[in-house]
Amino acid sequence: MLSIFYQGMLAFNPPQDEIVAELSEIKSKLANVAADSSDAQDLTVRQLELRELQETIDKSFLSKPPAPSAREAGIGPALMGSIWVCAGCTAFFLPLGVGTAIFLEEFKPRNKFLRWLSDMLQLNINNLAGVPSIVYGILGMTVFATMFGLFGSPNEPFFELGTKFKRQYVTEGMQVVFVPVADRDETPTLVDGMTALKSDGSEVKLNIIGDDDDFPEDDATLAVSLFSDSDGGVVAENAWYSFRLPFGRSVLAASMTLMLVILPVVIISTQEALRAVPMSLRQGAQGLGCTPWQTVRNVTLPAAIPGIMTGCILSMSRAIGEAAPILMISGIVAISMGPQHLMDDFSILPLQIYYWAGQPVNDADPFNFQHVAAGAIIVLLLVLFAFNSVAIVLRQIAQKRLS
Amino acid sequence: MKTKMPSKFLPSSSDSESDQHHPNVVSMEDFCAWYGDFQALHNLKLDIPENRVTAFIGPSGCGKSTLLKWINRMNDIVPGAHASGKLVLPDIDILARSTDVVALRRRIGIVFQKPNPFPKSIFDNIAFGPRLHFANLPKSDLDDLVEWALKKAALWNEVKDRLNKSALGLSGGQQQRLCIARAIAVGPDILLMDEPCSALDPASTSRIEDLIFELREQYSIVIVTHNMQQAARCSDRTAFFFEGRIVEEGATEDVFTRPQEQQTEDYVTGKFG
Repeated sequence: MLSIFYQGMLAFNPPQDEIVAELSEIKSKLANVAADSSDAQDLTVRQLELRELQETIDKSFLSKPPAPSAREAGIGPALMGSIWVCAGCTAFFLPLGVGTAIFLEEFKPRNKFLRWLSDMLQLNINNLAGVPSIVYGILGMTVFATMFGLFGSPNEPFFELGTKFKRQYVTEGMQVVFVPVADRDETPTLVDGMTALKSDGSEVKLNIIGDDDDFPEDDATLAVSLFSDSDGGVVAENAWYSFRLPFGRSVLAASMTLMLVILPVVIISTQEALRAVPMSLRQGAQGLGCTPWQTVRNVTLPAAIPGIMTGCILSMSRAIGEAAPILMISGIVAISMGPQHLMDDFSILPLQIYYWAGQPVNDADPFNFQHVAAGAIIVLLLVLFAFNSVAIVLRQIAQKRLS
Repeated sequence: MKTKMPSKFLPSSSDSESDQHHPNVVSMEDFCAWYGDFQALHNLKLDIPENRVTAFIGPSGCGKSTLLKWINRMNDIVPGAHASGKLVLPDIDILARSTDVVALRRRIGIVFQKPNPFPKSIFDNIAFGPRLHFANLPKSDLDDLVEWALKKAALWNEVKDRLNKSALGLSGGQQQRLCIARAIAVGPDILLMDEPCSALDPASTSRIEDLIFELREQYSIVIVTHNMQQAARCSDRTAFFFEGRIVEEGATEDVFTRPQEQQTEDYVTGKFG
């Protein structure tokens, strides 16, 4: 454990060759701890050599994208991805989970058949809480990412909103220009003098040359010159509200998959919280002429809120730590930006950690991807710790308010 | 204490105070009730007079609480509970499927054995019912109503400085009076009380008994009790229940001093029960 923490601290701060080891105090302290602890064997001599810590923590580890070199790597996009997926997941599981629990607990049917049905539902929910999360991953892939193939494939969706397509060409002067097109398959006819966009968004007039024509002489013209039969790739640009069916390997699909994973736990913990509300309160409300819904809204739910909140936040911290279901939806670990909209590609922290931890060790450099992984683990642990603290604080506040 | 609930909050027809011969507010005939296959009540015939306190006495499990809960249909939520026969208010058939249970419970308030204040402030506890039933009540009217209800329940002087404190901080007897205030704040005609003093100490009990005596001027009260002295002290009429049947029913004085049935005599003299 100590070793992981130490390695992780290095990730925030990859040792620079020129840094002089001035922290002999820390070094000797750590050496003492290492000698005392059962983890002593984890701290090899090589790792002891790495104890050159700078005075400040390098915050760029939190914002840098992953990189081919361990010293350059950061967790920015993965952290953003985790936040997005967790937020999306919360937006779905909260109403659905709490609603289901209220329905099962407070609106029990009196009809015999319906009662049997509700018992079966309860049994199923209890069983679902124990299903391995990778199974949910496969389910989420089928249901949300591909939607049983009912709406075409994720690459050629049946329905798209807020997506603009552009053809990307490389001019003879090695500049990249974009020509907007109406849909994915359209190839624009390139005519002399037509407008195109440069990658910075500014407009240029294209100079189209035929097959047999010579290259223009000066560089400026060359930079906007294209052969009339040149071929270009398709680039899609999504607005913040973009939406498509099926969802594909997107943040939305991942959020809904994670929702499936934690929904049974949320329902069960919410039911427990509702069950803990004394029957006499419900009777009191009904005796005053409350409808069942008014009873739930005004009495039962407010009294159960602390318990419900605790259950939900603990479930969220499980969701943010899940790797397996997301592994099915998105295997991306090299991504330069966090998600910009719900249909964007994404990576999450656990996935990134899993990938880095499996990278080969480079003996030449004492700083490896394992250290980066350890750093990411610390960040993940801190996030979980923050979540659980919030759960405890909220519960305390709510309890104080009620008693 | 004599303050009347502001008339705008009162349900339409409930003014017959000068009436001396106390018409019936609830009457039942041939009333039977079941929990699943178990018959809890057998062919009851009983009339509950207006502006009087009617006490139900009898040993545990004799069905008196069951009857009380049927009067405002609290048994609706109990699985397997059903009833037959006649159980009516002057203008409403309580047992009819079409009866609006919410409106019914507004007319028939209930106070339970254990005080059950909501985990809210004292003010919010009393304002709970009015807020539900009188839409868009101005704040000043609500304040008046809460004050009126708390005065009516003889609690105002004890809590007027702490209306915004949690109701759970009150003593057991205060909580029970709060529950009574909460019940009368929605303007019922009838108050049902299910052993309202059994969880309280003697001092609180006597305060609530005094309160019941005061309240009967404006409400018809039905009280279920295990305590014979209590029934004798604060009720006008008494019904003695045994094994789901009414053994004897009449003016309290008669039932306690000149019981017609052997069982009643045995019970009120403490030979069993």
